[in-house]
Amino acid sequence: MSGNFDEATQRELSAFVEQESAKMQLQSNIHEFTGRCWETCIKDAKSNQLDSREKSCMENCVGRFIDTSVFIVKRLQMNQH
Amino acid sequence: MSSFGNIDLSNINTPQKVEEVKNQVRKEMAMANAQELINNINKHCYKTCLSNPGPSLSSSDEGCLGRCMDKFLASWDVVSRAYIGRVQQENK
Repeated sequence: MSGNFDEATQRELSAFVEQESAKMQLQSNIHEFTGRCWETCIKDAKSNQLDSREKSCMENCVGRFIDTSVFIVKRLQMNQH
Repeated sequence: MSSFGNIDLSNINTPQKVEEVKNQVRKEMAMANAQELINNINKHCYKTCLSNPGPSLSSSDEGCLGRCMDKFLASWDVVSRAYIGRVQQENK
């Protein structure tokens, strides 16, 4: 398939694929967080909407998960020195 | 090979071919994204609504599943805003 395209076109396409892969990774993280935080924050489906407590729980869950990963990396770097 | 997916690329010029390939990639990504969302709704709403599965899907099960789907999509939206907001903040 790539044999049909000249070099510039191949470069353009590989840049495109890289860009789209990054988007895919972002979306995959969103799926992952939604599932993880749903487990933590949502106990039932008595309503079809999030109440304010559930909404802030979901937001905190995403934020603290990212904080946790930042913390772990920092801590590991500290221990190296 | 001159075809990609089900599109025949042999009779069109290069810029058109490139666009076709890009569109095919976008389409497949959207499909994969939708598939993953459906799988997640299925997994989590089954757990939320059918903790005690009966011999058939009752109307109250269906009611719960419907509300759960809406709620899961709303959650996906909240998470996506929170996450993207955070990523943008970190990149400043």
